[in-house]
Amino acid sequence: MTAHKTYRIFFRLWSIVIILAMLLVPRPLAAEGQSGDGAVKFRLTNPQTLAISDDGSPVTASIDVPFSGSGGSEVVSIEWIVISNGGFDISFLAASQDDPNNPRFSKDDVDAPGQNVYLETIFGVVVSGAGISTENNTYWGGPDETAAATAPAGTGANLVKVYNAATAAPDSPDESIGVIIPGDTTGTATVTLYAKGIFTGETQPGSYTLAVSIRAWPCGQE
Amino acid sequence: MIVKRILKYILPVLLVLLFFPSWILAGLKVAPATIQVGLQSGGNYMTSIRLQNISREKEERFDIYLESIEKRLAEGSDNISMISWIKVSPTSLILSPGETGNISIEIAPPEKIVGDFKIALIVDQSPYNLAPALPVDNSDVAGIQLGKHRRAGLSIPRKGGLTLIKQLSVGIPVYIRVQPTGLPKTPPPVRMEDLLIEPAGNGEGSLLASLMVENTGNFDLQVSGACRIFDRAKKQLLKITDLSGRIVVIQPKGKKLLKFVFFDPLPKGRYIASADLKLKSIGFEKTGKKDVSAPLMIDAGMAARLKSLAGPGGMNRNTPRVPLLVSPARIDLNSKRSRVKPLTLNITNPTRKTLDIRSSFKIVSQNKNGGKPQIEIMPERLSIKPGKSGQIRIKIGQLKNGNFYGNLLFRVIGMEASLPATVPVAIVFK
Repeated sequence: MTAHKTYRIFFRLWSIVIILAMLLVPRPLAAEGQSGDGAVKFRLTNPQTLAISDDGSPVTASIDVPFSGSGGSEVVSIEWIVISNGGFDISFLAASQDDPNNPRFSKDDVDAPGQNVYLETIFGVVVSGAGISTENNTYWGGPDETAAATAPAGTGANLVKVYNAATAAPDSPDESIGVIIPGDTTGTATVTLYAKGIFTGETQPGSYTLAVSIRAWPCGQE
Repeated sequence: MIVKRILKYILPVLLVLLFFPSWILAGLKVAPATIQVGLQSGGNYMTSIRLQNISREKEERFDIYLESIEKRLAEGSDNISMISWIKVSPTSLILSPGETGNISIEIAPPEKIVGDFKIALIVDQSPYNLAPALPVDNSDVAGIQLGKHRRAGLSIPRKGGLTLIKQLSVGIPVYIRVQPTGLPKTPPPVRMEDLLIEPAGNGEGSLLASLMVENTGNFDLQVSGACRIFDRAKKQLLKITDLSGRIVVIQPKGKKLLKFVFFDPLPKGRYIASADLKLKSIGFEKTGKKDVSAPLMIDAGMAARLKSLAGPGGMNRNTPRVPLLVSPARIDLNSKRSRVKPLTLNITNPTRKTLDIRSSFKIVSQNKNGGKPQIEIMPERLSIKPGKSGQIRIKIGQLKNGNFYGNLLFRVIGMEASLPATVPVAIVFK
């Protein structure tokens, strides 16, 4: 192998290493914005980033509505992926037309068009992912993860309740789970919401819908 | 040549792999995810947040607005009024897959406004994006059974369906400190309610001392300290606990309930509980101190209750302790000399296997002028065979004026999930 060839291979390898390093090594974000009147200090050396995503499609379960008795039920689940280089809290937003603080599945009333009928709905939340840790529990809406997923028992009113340290609002997902720290290697945590609609003999058949929004709260600077 | 090839073929692939994970169909990314700004009264500031649509194929619309963070923290200043001096633009953004947009935030507090303020910048995935609910077979809606085939017990299922629609939202905390020119020296008064002592609730140990503290100022208040239980003459320190090693931050005009948890029970008797707090109002030079005391009477019924909560198998003993017996169970040292003799502790292993023990000392609180006491543990590592005892010597360095409180902790290798055996240490040197 000639010296020229060795030099070329060496040069190629270093080119690749340098480009990969430029792409992959995290760079400190420069402070943005400009000051106006008065002295301004802005500390922003290694800011927390946060991304939240899902697979973009609604989740539907078909259910046989019984004619009588306490009836059937089905657990429907949806999941969100949160990617962050810091801890975060979660809260949920959902509402029913008749009661903004008590989300339930609903549909148009067949007997009274323009009005809604509601389905008793209970919820569970489970946080998962490789290497994640949570401040308190990894679940809400049951005594353990399995129960929260298969037989959730959290109420809609508590699901949308925001943890309130001063008045110790009990039973909210944020109180039960606390700060979520994504896994070190992946920076990822999965939040799964389980919702169970209870059909009885009196339930109007049809398609019931509920929109739920997860809100992630970075807590790196708190 | 090689650089050209890299730029042409490898770079785009790397970029795609980095920014478009294959499973993402809808999503948003914000950077930075928190904002912390310090400025002087009457100043103004502009910053921005980058918002990226990380969905693979969907155009997304995002709604952007300010919301009081009070809802979440339930304490703090009148955040609603801040909305008049913080402006966000734009209030909605439509981004193509992978596209990044900027959200500008202008902060311009009026003259004479000072303090710590917190507000949340909310980015919601707009319902505009949402796909309609999937249709469910309603062909059997009425569920009517007619004719001669109708009979009891015949079950023709009626169809129902549940559809959950997902939405995304991010709350970006915005922390703003507006400082006056020149710091005032005297911090604003801190209000405290009575020290309340009661049996602990579920999972909270044996005895709980709680104290509501109100920050009347405009800046964050940092509270640290410990709660002690003395005999009725307040001469003998019996128990001490801190705020789980935390500094509690109370927001402006906010209240917070401080909880001091005692894990071990107290027998029947009369005592005095005392919470010593160190108060640091951010933005002020001076540090304050506050001592709140309350008499504590434990009758036979309450003593039994405390014992049931704390004892082995008690309802609040969810977390096991390491199975070590340590004697003495606490160290009280009242010394008039700056040098004291080394102390000896006996540790017994009551189990049927050899235990490897690691010892350490953790300070709980100390007098400001006294300096940290030098505690030397010999040996720090000890292996004790089943049913046997071992000795550990505690050498305390030269004392300076002041009081020190801390805990000797004894952990067992392989039992990291268990609480360590704890020996409280109180050193008073006059």
